[in-house]
Amino acid sequence: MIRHLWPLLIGFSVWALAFTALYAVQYLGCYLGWAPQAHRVTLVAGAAIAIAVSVGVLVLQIAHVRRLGPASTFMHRVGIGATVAAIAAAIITFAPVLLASACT
Amino acid sequence: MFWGAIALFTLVIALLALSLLRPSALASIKPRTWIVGGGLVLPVPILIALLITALLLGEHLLPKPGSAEPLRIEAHASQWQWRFSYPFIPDAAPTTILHLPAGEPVDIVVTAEDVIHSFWIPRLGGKIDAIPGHTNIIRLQADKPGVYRGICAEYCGEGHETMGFEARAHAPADYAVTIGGQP
Amino acid sequence: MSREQLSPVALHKALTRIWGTPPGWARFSAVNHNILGKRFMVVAMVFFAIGGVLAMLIRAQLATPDSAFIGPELYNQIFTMHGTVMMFLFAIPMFEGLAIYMLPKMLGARDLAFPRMTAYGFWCYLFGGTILIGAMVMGYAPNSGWFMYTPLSSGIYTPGINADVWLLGITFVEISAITAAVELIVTILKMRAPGMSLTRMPIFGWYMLVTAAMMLIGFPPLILGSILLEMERAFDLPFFDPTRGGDPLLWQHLFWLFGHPEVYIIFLPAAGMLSTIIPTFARRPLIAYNAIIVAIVAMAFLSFGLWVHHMFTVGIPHLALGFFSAASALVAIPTAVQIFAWIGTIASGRPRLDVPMLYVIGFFIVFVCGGLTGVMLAMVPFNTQAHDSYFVVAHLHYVLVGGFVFPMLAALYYWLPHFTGRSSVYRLSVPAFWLIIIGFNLTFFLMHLTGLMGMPRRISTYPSNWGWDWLNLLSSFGGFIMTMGFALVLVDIVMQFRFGRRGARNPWAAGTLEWAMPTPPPDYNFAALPTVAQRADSLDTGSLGNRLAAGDGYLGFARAHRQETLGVDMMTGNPDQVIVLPRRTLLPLWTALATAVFFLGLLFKIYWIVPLGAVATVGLFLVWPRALGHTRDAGPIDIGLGEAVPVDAEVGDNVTWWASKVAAVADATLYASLLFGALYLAVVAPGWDGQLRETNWWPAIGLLTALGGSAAVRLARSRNADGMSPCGWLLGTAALAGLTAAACIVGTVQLGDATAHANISLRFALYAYCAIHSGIAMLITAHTAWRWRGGYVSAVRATSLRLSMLWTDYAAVALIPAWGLTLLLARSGGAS
Repeated sequence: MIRHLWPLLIGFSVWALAFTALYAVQYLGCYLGWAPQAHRVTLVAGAAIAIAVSVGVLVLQIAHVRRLGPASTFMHRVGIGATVAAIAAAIITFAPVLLASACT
Repeated sequence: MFWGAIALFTLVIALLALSLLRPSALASIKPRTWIVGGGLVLPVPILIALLITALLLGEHLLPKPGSAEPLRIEAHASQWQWRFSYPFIPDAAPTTILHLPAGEPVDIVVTAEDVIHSFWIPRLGGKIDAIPGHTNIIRLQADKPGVYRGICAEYCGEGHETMGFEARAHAPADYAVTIGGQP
Repeated sequence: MSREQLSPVALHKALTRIWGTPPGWARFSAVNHNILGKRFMVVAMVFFAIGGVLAMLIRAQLATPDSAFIGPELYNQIFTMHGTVMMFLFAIPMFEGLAIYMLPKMLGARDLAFPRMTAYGFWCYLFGGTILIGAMVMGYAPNSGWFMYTPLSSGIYTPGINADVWLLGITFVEISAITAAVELIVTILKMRAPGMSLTRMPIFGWYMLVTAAMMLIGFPPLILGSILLEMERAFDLPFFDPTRGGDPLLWQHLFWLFGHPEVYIIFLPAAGMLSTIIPTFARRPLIAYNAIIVAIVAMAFLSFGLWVHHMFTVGIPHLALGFFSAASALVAIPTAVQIFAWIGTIASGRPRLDVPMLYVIGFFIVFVCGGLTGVMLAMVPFNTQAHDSYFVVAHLHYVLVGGFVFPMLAALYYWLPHFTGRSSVYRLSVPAFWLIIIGFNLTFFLMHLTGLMGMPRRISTYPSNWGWDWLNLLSSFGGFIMTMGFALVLVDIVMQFRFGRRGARNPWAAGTLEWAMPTPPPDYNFAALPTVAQRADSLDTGSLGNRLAAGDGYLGFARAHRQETLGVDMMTGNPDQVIVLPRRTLLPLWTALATAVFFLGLLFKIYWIVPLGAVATVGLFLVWPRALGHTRDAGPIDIGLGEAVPVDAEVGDNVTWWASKVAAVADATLYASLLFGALYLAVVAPGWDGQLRETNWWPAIGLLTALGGSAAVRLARSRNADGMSPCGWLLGTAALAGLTAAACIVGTVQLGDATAHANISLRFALYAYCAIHSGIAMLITAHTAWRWRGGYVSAVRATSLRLSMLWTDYAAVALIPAWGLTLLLARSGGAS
């Protein structure tokens, strides 16, 4: 099942993992009393990595479709759209790491 | 936000009406234009602008540790009453009426005895939950002396609607006298 | 193989003899999706009426200030039940019912993948709902709010059985949601008409696929939360008690982790109906099919990232609020994409108005309004002001009534001719529409204002000097107008069933497969299964229906008194197996009754009866496979049109295997929620300082035996593949699984007093979960050995062995994080 549906799911799966991870880092940083600067840097780096990974996934998906040429399926093409949407979602949902107070 | 919502609502319904009544007027619009225009171009900038505004405003309202520490009043909730105490005045007895100094921010430190309650004075700002095992802080400011109504905003059992309280904001000069003198 | 072609009438009779359910007592044994889909919908409508009466009581109470009509005690039961009934007993079962009835028809199948599971789900729903309503009638309804926030719902503050009724009744009902989710996913992916690749699937199939996947992930956190809270109430295990290392916020996380996706679980099927209805009345195919698929996938994921927006006021750091606020706002975008796809479809078609379209317009007006207030509420500063006020009441009714009830009414009027085979006579639907939309807006629009004026939710009365009087009175007045509208709809439905003119087939000239059959539909749906060569939403259903009725298509015959339908390759839609479905039986009813014994025993605290119920349920489930299966390998068999494929038992890629994998996903989600809960409490909850806990080594021993089981089951499988007896290794696997379960049970006993601190009760829960799953692995492997001895398993018919391996491995893998967390918790302390 996943063998065929992955193009549709992978972009947002990366988003979901990153979302969970950032939320956990935010919580743990406060719990363990990290220095605010270090906490902020970790969060921003995490968000940047997540966005970079999603872009990487998109590049791979586009390359995959190019390589397959006419053999690429509808799922591959729709999957590209889903990953683009996931990247946009990552940029917007992770933007608060730049600004918002992490522990108050 | 309100006028923006009205405008968007009118736009969507007008497009719907036009599409039903005069489809020819819109027939030249391509599917891609509908999706990109309506689904992305229209909402995305609005949402981003709203999110940035809300985030900045939210930061502004936070009870951040800053240079001038505001007064800290403790609000303790139990079924079905509030008890306010004033640790910054040594002998102040707890009260059932919340006494606030007018014209300056105060931090209300909210705790709960039994079940979840929520501290809310609608005219002064947002609400914060009182949760057993947790301590929450909300920063409020009453600009003018006067009486404000407060309620419990989280359902807390049979006496939920009776769990209101009164908040009195006093001019700074009278404030210490009031809580010092109140039994 | 040549086959004598029957006349359409003779074919109909032959198929009806196989698929039909006779009247009278035999109806209790029905497993057919036509019957069960309708039953789900009828029962859901009954619950909707009950919920509506409760709403009327609420509005009667709130119409005037200082009202003494019903006191706070009763009022609390009523508003709790209104929310509970509408969400759990109306909305979800209603769309499940429609999907159960409609999906096989739209996809070109003769039934769902697991007809007996449908029936079992229905009985669970009916019995669970009856427990809730019965308790209400006797005056013991839940009274802690439909959200059941603890500690208010804990044993201390709600000592009676009221909260147990909720936790157990709803968990009972949720069984039907999980079974429906598994069944819908498998049916959509595997049981479409030949040639219907995923690209050609009608968009409703996509919507239901995504919805079912969301149910699979969304419901387990709630089920877990309910189990934990019930364990706290019944056995004093302190998962949520802040004085013993628990945290009330854990309940809120688990509840809203379900509760927010739930809103989209309700909306997406409705949107799927709109995406089916609107193109029919626009007389052109839906635009932007691909963009809509992306939008619903995006919505599904995003909806799991915004649960905390129900918790903006619990004191969570601003950054976390920022994440969830942004995700909440963002979900408006896929919604907007769909709204404009619909408007674009209408605009580029040749729209005509009829009754269903009227309700679609109602949907647009109400839902767009609710969506806009939703964006407002996503903004933290506004939310902290409006949260738990009537503004939220207004918003949620705009979203749910706009996003579900209006589309459902449109769908009802759209498909009523399909259910009845008749057309409407009196046109009560038009005045009903006006009553509903005027009444609705009068009731709920004003609540935005009362909310902004500071009226909090869930108060049974209010003094008259706060300026809310006339707004509330008008809201109540509007509520009664809306009720009259719904009553008219009901009358209209009854009238159409009773007096409607026998109408022509397919009155709306729709192009989806459910109209390519006689109406009301025969028990077997299609006398022959169609071939689909284009997107299955603009077919010429009239001529196709006639050809299929004549048996011109796949499986256009009755064979061996078996209920046969086709399974296809998931992507391409090429037929790859004949699925032989089980025939009607009383087993689902008996199994559900045994399950009811289990739940009622827990509810009334008659604990000796609980294991009896559990054993009876499991025992009955083990009897289910007896009616199915083959004792010899038949090879490919004729499916018509010159093609032949094997039966499902002889292919690896069959629906049973798929369903097990899908069920394992739901189970893993439940377990992940438990692991999350354990980590959460260890990190967040107060009272975790102090003495360290002893490490408990028993689960580590269990892990070793479980890994041994995984190795043994592989040997069994390879022996079976070589045509030798796998029995020895299977029984060895079962024995190892039994040892694992025993080790976990000893581990729980060794823990000591699990009521002392959440640290211990969490480990208790983890070990209990592992013990149960090792027990399941043991039963399945032993059962496989028994099936092999009965001749039902061969090198080709090896599904049972694959299932044994899946669940043996699952039990072993589950022990790894359990053991890891044991080590972690042993270091986390917790004062006793």
